[in-house]
Amino acid sequence: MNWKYWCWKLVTIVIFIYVFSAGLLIPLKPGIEEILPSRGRAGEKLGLQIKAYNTSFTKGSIEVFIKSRDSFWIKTKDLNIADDRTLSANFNVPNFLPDASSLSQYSIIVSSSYDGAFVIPGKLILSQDSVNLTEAQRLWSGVDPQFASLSKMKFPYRNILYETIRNTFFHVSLWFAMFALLGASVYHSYKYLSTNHLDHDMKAYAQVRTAILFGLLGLATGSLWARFTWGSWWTNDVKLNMAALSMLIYAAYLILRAGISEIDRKARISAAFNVFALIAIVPLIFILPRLTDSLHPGNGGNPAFGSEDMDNSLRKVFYPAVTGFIMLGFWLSGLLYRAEKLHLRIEDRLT
Amino acid sequence: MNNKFLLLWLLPLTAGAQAGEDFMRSSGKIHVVYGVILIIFAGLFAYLIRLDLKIKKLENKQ
Amino acid sequence: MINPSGLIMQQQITFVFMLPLLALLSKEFRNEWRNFYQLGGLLAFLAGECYLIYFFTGKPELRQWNLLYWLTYLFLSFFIGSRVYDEDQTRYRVIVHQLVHPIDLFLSKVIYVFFLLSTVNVLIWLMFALFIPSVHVALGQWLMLCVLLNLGMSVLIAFSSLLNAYAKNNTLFLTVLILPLSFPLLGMTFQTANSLLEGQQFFGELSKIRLIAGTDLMIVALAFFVIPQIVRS
Repeated sequence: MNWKYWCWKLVTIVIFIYVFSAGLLIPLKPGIEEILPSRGRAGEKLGLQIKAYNTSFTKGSIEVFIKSRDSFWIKTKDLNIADDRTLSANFNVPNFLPDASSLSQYSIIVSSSYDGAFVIPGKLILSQDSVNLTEAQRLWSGVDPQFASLSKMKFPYRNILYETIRNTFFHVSLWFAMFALLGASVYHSYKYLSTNHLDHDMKAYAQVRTAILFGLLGLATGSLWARFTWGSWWTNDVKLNMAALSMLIYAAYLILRAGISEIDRKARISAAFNVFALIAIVPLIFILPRLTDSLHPGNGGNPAFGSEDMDNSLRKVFYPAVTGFIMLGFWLSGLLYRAEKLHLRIEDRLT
Repeated sequence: MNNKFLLLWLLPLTAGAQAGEDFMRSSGKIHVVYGVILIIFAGLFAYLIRLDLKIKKLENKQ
Repeated sequence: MINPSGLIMQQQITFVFMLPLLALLSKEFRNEWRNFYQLGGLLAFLAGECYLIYFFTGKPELRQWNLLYWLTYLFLSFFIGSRVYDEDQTRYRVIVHQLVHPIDLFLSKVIYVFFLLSTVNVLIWLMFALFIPSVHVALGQWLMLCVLLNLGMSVLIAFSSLLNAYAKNNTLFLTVLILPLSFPLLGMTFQTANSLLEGQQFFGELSKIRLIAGTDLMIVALAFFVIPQIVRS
């Protein structure tokens, strides 16, 4: 067995097993889906119905808090657990609120000894008739909550995304793999132009075709994901349009190749087109969405894969997923290249 | 013949669109993740089949 | 032998260097002049289109006006493109390796197409201003935008036409090659033009203008890197 030949392929397989098992089996953190009602008044009783996701309220002891922006807290008077995912919590909202305006936003925090603590920020709106800050601060400062920290690795909970946050590993890494393959294909096209060795062109061709597969899969998976988070199969988002555009450009590459019969001429012209298209146009796919509004993270003022969207638990699966998909892409394109090369060799022998 | 079968395939999809919608959104939208993985595998297998056919043709030539 | 007047020598050299390019260019323009009726046809088309727009919408909104403007531009640039394709189809085969260097041919084509596109741009502007005037815009800035777009488009048309000529193919390539390549340029121009029409200042859109100019630069540089590679065979 040739060690060098199989080593990285085995690594790819291991990475894929890790990505799929970790990406699908690690649970989401618990989170609050909905609270009802979302409005309350100072000095009155407030009965909150809390619907949560991925929780087991029947286990462990539970406390519910209301938190103001400046970290003043009140705690539930009593609570009523309906099932694992719903509970109703009753509060006595004090007469004054720790906020200078009559209407302000408050967060709800549920702390459970079994699930850990989770929050729905700014969802509750409380109103008051008159403002008395010093009195309010006295009324709201009796509580000093202690939260149990969870040691288990879990993916973050996001309100619209739910479990689809796992698609980060599958959908996003497809695009990374596509760009890696395109980059490699341009390198090989350049190599072909400078050395005239047909192997390089065949490599570039195989890589472009694999990249197109990944791009189409990225569009299809993205479209499915968008349907159930943004509400439609296709939104008029810059990033989507640019992705579709790059697919068009590479469709043009394929048509160009199909249109030329002479092998050397075909290689030369398509290599030139490949270098031209990727370097002149594709960078825009990265730059343009940053300048205009986009729904995607990292674009148009949305947070990038920084602190907000990517937490450490996601990263531990996301980076291996990207590496794995890139390696799979090179594996697939390598197979295609070898088949193509065999084809050429057999043709040579026959003629 | 083929077209008819295609249409038969599409029939439950259009008729039960609403039911499908609820299904996709149930259990924390996990079915969307399954759908995404299914698409990826379908694509990879389509690629494999094309490669297979190509190699088959080469074998026949030889 | 040393020439005492090195300056004249240098001028002569530049002149000799420029000669084929100038000859080619003059040939292009003479050809254009001979087919002057085509320009007339273009004008008639524009007038007809404007009348149709006027007939159906009266006075279009700014956004629509802008869209119609650039769509007309796109259509006409395809019209020009198809002509260039037809000419290049034979010309690269005949002239290359015999009379002039293909780079000269390419360069003359770029200049010629740039000139045509600019003319078309002016014509569209005049026609639109005549029939459906709804726009007050800083003309200098609009002109600069058009120049930047025309530059990119002319290089793209000439480049894809060269590819097509070397591929010995038909004009199917025209749409397939030019449209996706020119899409980002056109899209950015459309957006910038939109904000110009809405009365924003040019330099509010500085980043996008810079991007258009950068894309142009990229396209030009790559064309001149890539074409010698194609031509070499």
